[in-house]
Order: sequence, then structure tokens, then C-alpha cells
Amino acid sequence: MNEDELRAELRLVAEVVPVDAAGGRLAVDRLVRRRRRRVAITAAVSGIGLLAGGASMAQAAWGDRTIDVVSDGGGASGTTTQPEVVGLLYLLPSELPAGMEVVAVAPSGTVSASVGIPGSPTQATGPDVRSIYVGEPRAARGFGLVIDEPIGDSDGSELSLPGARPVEVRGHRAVLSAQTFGILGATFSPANAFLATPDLVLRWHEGPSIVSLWGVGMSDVELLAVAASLREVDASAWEGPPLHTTASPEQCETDGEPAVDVPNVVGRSLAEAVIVSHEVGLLVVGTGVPDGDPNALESIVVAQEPPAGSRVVGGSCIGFRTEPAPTATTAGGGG
Amino acid sequence: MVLQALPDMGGDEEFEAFFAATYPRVVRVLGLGWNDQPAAEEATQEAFARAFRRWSRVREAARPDAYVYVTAVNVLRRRARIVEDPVASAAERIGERDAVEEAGVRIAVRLAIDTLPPRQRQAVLLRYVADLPVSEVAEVMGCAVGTAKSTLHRALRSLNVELENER
Repeated sequence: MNEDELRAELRLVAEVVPVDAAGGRLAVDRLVRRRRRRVAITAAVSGIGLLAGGASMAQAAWGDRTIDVVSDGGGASGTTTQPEVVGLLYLLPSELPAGMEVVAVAPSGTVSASVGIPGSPTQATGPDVRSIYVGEPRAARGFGLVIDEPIGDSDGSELSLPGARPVEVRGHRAVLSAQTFGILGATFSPANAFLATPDLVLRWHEGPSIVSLWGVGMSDVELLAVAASLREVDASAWEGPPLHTTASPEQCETDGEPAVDVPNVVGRSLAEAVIVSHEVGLLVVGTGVPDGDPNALESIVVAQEPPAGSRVVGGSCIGFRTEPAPTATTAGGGG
Repeated sequence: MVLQALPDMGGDEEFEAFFAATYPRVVRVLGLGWNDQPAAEEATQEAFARAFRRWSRVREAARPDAYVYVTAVNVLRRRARIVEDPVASAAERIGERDAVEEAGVRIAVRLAIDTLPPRQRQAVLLRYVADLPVSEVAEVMGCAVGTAKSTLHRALRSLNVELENER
């Protein structure tokens, strides 16, 4: 039997071995998803590096390893406390859509101290990245292009956009990958709680933008559905100071011409109330929720001061009294 | 909701095509070559998961499937689930023989493969079923190219002897 005959015979032998390709594909998908839950989010964009993450993400991002962040001499390292979040972002400048904004959401102190981003909460980063937002995670909203790469059992990171595909959502360009992108903002503990209240989240910038959704256990179709349901909010909020759930009363403006109509936020969630208040230029100085309350965002505002309809100076204080939300809003996160 | 794909950011479709074209063969080669079908499936799945994560690089390789073979075999080795006893493997496969016969495939070839020492069997399957060049066969098997060539040569000689005996 010559080589060609042997090849033909061997292939016939092999072909009769049953193979469940569909089951195999699902298994591969599960492996990919499982790995991605263990990774951390950092960003390296156009020569500027940053950490992107919520409070827990900011710690988890570092893992027990050093993550090299492409920046002006920057780098990052630390220890992890919550291994299920996030991902490592590496981007080649050529891969970055023009006009893209990268939003980093994390405790400002942690990020600026760890990554070396100067204290300014918002940073200009060059022509490709318009700004980096660093603020309190609890009230923060934001999304950025997040490419996570597994760093758990894998051999390291690489420059790629695995599984990413371009889509158009509500007239905006977006890049979506069910395994790749994550919502940044609010608390990620659990991430699904964030997805359960998508109206709290984000907006698209005019022009090319990136929608970044981290859908734990969600399909890409579900992710897109969430993306489509997001409420667009005033982009100017991103150009201003960081969003803090609470501010010091000393930060509040008291002098000047009253020019801001106080919105009515009674009955809304605390997160919505904070967002709405910031959008009109008010500083939230009291929320009535204990520090560290994981359900703070879902608390319901039952009273506010000043009352709705008042006209105050821009930058004035506003305070809320809240009660716990009647039911847990944490969602299962889908299939 | 408008869902419109935009150009030049693909990857999923290409990977899916690669998976569809490659996965069954990898599973079969590893299952036959390493005598552990479940382990072969798991290792292949792991290899494809890794390939997916490195797809931008893997896709550029001359033989992306070689990456999968190398990775899967490494996984198999690491898990120490390789059955090295060809006699036992042949006995275990008796149950599969009916299916082989029903498919009209020569039992003799299958049995001849089973008589080969594991390394020869693996080399033959990688070379002639996976269709890898000898250099890639050597990489998968973790040996020199010359060693792979001589292993293949011995395997072919043994197979011909076995098949002659069957006749």
C-alpha cells in the first residue's frame, strides 16, 4: 500500500469516529467565557495607559501579577480581592477608532495612585482618546472600549480583538463582543445588578463611539438588546468633575445668580437621582445610605432638599433621604 | 433596534469556519492516536478556546490547525491521560468495530493502526489524516524532524506488513 492509498484508507477509518462538533463548539465557548471572568480590565490606548474598573475591579484588575500598561512610563501592580472581574485591555493605536472616549471608572484615589494617572479626574489623552474619566464607581456611568484578554491560565496577553464585531446601535457605531466587552461603572458586585438597571447607564457620544457591554453570561444578542435600551444622557456630564455620590458641603456653591431648577427626584432610585442632579449642575451631599451599602444605587429617594422646582445657584448642594428598594433588583444575567 | 454589521472588524465568522473545518478531524486524530476519545475531545476544545483567544495571531499562521494540534497534544500530555498500551486500546475498541464495519471501512487498516506503537500511530495519523507536514508532525510530537521521519518510515513499514498478513 503506497502513501496515497494509506492516506485514503486512514481517512476513511477516521471518518467513522463520531464527533459532536456542535457540542464541542459550545464547550469551547464555555471555556472562553469562563476564562474571561477571571481577567482584569486595564487599558492601554494610544500610548496612554489607564486602569478601568469599579471599586472592586480596581483591586481585582491587578491580580497577583504585574500588568504592563502602555503609558508614559507607567505600569501597574497590586493584589486582587475579587477575581471574577475584569479584563486586560491592550489596543494598538491603529485599532482605536478616532474620537473614541475611554472611560475609566474607579475610586479616583486608587486609580491615580496605582496607575500613575495624575490626580485630575479627567485627562486629555491626545487626539484619539478624548478623555479618561476617573470617578467614584458608585455613581459613575461610563463605557469604553474594553478588550479583555485572559491572564489566568493563559500564556499572557496579546494585541487582538477576539470575537469583536462592529455593529450599529441606535445610529451609532459600536464594537461588540459577547466575551470581550464590559460595562464599566457602578458597582460590579454583582455585575448583573448593573445590567438590571440599564437606564442608569450611559450614553453614546456623538460621532464614532464605542459601546462596551460586559454581559456576564449573556449572549451577544442580549447584550445588544441592553445596549439599545440604555438611556442617553447629557454628554456634558463627562466633561465636568467626577460624579461622586456625595460631596463635601464645602464644595457647594452658595454665591451667584440662581440659574438651576432643582429637578424632582423623589421616587427615583438614588443612582438616577445622583445622575439627574449632576446633569443640572448640583452636588449631592447626602444620600441617607450607609457607606458601603451594596444596594445603595437601588435605594429610593423619598425626600429631597432643596425641593423640586426651587431655583438655585449652579453647583449648589442637594441632599436626599432614601429608603431601601422594595425588592432586590439584581438580575440573573441571562443565559 | 438597528443591527448592522460594519466592515473590517470580523473574526467570528472566520473562526467559526476554521472550527467547523478542523474540529472533527482534530478530535478524530487525537482520539485514534492517543486512545482516549473523551480526553481528546476535552483537549481539542481547550486548544480551540486558546486559538480563539489568540485568533488574530493564529489565523496568520501557515497552518492554523497545527497550533490546535500542538496545543491539544500538550493538554493531553499535561493531563496524563494518554493510554500508551496498544494492546489494551485494541481490546477497548472491539465495541467500535461494528460501526466500522457498517461504514464499510476496512477493519484491517484499523486493526493495523492499533498494532502500531503509540508514537508511530500518532505520527501516522498526524501525517496522513491531519495532513500535517513532517515538520509540524515533529512539533506536535515534540521531537526532531528526523525522528519524525524515521518514526513515520517505521510505521508505514509495519502497517504494510500487518496488512499483508491480513491478506
